[in-house]
Amino acid sequence: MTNSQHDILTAVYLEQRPALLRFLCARLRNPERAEDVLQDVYLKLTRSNLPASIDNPSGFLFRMAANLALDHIRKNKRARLRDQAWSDLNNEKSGNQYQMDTPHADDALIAKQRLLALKTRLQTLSPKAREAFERHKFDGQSYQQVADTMGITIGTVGKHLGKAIKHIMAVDIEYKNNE
Amino acid sequence: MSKNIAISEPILAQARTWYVRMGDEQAGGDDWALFTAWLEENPVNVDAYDQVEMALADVASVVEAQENITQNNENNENNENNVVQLIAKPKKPPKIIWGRLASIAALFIATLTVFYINNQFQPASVQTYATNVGGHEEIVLKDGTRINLNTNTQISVAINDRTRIVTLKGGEAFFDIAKDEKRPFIVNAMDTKITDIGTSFSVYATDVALMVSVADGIVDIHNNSQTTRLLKGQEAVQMLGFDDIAVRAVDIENISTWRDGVLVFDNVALSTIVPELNRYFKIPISLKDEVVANLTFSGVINISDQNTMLGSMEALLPIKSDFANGQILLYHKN
Repeated sequence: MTNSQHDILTAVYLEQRPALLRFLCARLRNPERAEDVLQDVYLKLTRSNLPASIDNPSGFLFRMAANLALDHIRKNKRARLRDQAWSDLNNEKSGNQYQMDTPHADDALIAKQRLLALKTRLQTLSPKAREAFERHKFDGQSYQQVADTMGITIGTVGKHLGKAIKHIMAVDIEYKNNE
Repeated sequence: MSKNIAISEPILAQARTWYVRMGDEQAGGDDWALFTAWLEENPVNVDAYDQVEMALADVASVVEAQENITQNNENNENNENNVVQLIAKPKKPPKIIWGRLASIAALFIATLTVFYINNQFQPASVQTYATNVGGHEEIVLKDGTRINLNTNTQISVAINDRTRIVTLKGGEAFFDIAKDEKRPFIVNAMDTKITDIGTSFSVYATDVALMVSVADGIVDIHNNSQTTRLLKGQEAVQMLGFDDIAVRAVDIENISTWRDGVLVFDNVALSTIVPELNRYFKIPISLKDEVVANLTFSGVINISDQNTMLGSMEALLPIKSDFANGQILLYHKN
């Protein structure tokens, strides 16, 4: 990245900082974590290899913030699962030492079944929705690129994606009773 | 966690719409400000958005794992026999050209260190074994240990005077370990290490989880964050990408029944059973819709022949099968 591009992004970052912080507070529901993630955005901006040209610098910064926030949420979720496993284990020891069939064990099996069901979900998507979804989500194509390759409008791309996401998420309705 | 909360469909629909809208690279500062306002409007909106993000993140990991499996399948298709034995060439010491850049020398030192640690200072010959889709083989090691390889499985075995190390690269294997207190038996699978104290157990690396089931004796499972001891009749599950190990009871009779050409299910949905069956056959089975995906089955399925298997499933469940476009489609009779 050239210096001038870096300067542009830094300038946009400084200009958008309050809006980015507000977004992160809303997304993470925690001002402290929001500050942490915003700090990560800045560090990433100065350190990582950014694309050669960025058409939409403020959109780029918000997306980066959203992705880092998601990483943060997932990391926290894992830590919570670990704590829960630890307390489950301790509760067992104080009770019956051989009672190992914990709710946590069932959770992991349900999670496994859920992932297998997700796979089936992907396979049962309608072909157009699946193509749009895979092109965007797995091949990293932009909406414009998906629209161009499939010969459809950006609006239709959005409709396909919405449909795909709804179909995929229906898996959680199947498993809601178990959780 | 947000997943436990039932969120109404209208709010989920809004969350999906925002997800699609914010996924567009053209979305600018104004769009993000509107999105922020929606998140601030109601905590349930944030929960709904979390659900969308989590579901899609999980899909990404399923697909990544799927791609790895497909690659393995392609590699295996070139092999004519079910068991392929490759004898790895002993690694030659790298030729060091003196006077090269210090960074390259440092790289060699790192490589050599890893090489010697892995081999406990005794270069051992490494043997690799693999089965094709539908294959099943038994290997007997020099120490008397028996390893049964299930369909589409790849392992490598390194034995020297101090250790016995098996690496499960993919698939499922049942181990009946010959007792040798001086040489621990270690199975590496994903990032997890399973050590054994003279016993028999199965290790199954699916595309989403690692499962270890103990038929006899005791095994220890170590990963980055914890060690878990498994006793006879226990099964451990570790999800791919997570360090948590969950333990539950398992019926010893039902461990690795594939060795006898059958699979046993107890009230399991077809959406879970079918991916399991597809491990054994080249022609994939798919489910037509949710109705058939949600049917549950209890009992024994014979996996020695796909046609026979489908015939008995049609007899036991209200389903029919059709072959078209290189795959078998299962659908509800009505």
